[in-house]
Amino acid sequence: MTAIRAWALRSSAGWLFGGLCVIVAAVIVSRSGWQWQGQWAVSWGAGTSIVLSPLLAGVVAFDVHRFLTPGLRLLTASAQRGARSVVALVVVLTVAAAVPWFAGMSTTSVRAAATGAPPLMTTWLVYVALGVAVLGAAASVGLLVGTLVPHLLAGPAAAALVYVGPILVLPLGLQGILSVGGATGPTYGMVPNPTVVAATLAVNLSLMALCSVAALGRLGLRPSFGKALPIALVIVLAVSLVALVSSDPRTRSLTGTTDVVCTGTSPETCGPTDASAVLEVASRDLEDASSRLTAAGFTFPDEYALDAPTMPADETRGLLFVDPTTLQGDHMSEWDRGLTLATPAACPEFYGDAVPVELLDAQAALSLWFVAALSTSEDIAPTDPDTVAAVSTLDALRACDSSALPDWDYATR
Amino acid sequence: MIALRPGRWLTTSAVLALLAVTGWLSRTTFVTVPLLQERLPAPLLIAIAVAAVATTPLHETFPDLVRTLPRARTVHALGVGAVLVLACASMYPALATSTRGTVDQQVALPLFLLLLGVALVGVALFGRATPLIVLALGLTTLPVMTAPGNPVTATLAALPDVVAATMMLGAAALLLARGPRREHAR
Repeated sequence: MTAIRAWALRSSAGWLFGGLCVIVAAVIVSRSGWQWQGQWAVSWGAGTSIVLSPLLAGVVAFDVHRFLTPGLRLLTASAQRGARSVVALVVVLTVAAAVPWFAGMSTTSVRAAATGAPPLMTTWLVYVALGVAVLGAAASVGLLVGTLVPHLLAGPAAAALVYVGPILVLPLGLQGILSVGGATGPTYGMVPNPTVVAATLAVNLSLMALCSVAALGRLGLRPSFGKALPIALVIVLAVSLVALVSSDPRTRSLTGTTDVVCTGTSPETCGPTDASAVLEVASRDLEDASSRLTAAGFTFPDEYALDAPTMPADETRGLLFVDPTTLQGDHMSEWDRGLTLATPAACPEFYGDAVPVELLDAQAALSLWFVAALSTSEDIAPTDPDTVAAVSTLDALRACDSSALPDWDYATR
Repeated sequence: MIALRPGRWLTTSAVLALLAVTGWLSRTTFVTVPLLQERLPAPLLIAIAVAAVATTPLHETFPDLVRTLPRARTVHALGVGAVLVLACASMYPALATSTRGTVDQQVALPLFLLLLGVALVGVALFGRATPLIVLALGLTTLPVMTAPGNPVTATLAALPDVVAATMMLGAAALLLARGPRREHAR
């Protein structure tokens, strides 16, 4: 405890903590939309590790270079508990980085819960475990670089290594090394893939242990187990890397679930359970819009299914498009609402090899018309030529029949 | 050579040369960066790295000894000039020949000049932690500036290169006036 207290006062932990708090806040508020899905919120909050990890590695290397002078290294190597002192420095700095990271992830989780999209506890715990492993690994890389590079550039070198390393291994299908989370879009109906999580944890933990052992060895603090531990760690690292690369699908860290929830009545909106917050918003908006349009002669499907990879598409249900980043308050964007109303069926042609140009053109024109018609408070005249053409277009799109589309030039006017 | 080694000039020059070559090779490359939706032009990363590394020789090497030298201020002024030349020369291959078609490519030069300015001020105010402060600013800027509708990219894109260069030179003047921050002797 004495070493921890001493390093807490002497090291750069205070500056690191303050700086990282500002950085975490800046990164988290830079985007919106994540609060509408628990999984995305946790991943976005945890994603600050992509900036935090390199800086933690840099500061550890900087402090190791600054404090562990040749004289102090001699003293440390000869001291009975020398290794503990070095480990204490790394622990203090890691905690100084982990607290802002954890606070950021907790903030996004609480914000999502307040929006009605709380993250699953298992997902949250997985990200906590991954984050701790990632920050520990980054700190250990910083420790190793700090002991190897006797130069002021040790800090930037460690930071660059931890930042660029994960980018360089991305093409190999390796995700989650020295960074965790960072989703920039919703992942409806997806949960962490246990195989990938286990392999990612093993990679980061073995990297952390290997770098720590190598750094302590470099400082003359050789553990009593000789070469057995480093060899075992190299084997574990290699096996876990192979497991991570060969995970199927190898770059997917998430796997789909089949749980579906429906909200609303006319129309009903359905989607994965973790999309319930956006489904409620969409259901309200579509109900208001369809009640106005039905009076003008439009017939909409009883059910819309969220356009998500885990949702089966069929012709009896419309497709629901909701981009959480464009939600305005508690309302869909007018473009999402128009596109959803103009897609009353998930036609098989949409998923075929040939592009259904006529259907897509009609969908685009109808979507534009819906946006314009719903943007005013005036009643929609059923006898207006555009309204008649729009009704016919919607019916043709519901039947997925391009031959029934009217000759309507609304989009090109 | 004896003066160059403790002054970190050799190592810094070698790293900057490596960054210049990397910048030249990747001048038209876009890289996938975690936490970002779109791919980023590699010169942006090179700009952050050059700004973080370039001012390393300006930190005091022998604090007590330097103050006894009669030409310390002149040597320091020459050092600041040399750092500016080295930094700009290292950044030139990445920027001069790259197409500046996208907004992200357009902001590379002002971002580099501003970060270099921060680094110069940092040498005077923050001391040896400056490279990490520049890295922290640069790495935080990337996810923030690529967020939809953010004001950072618009501000950087609207900032004329001349203004950014003037701000950087102002930072250099501040460093010349104040000198590097005195480090505690170990």
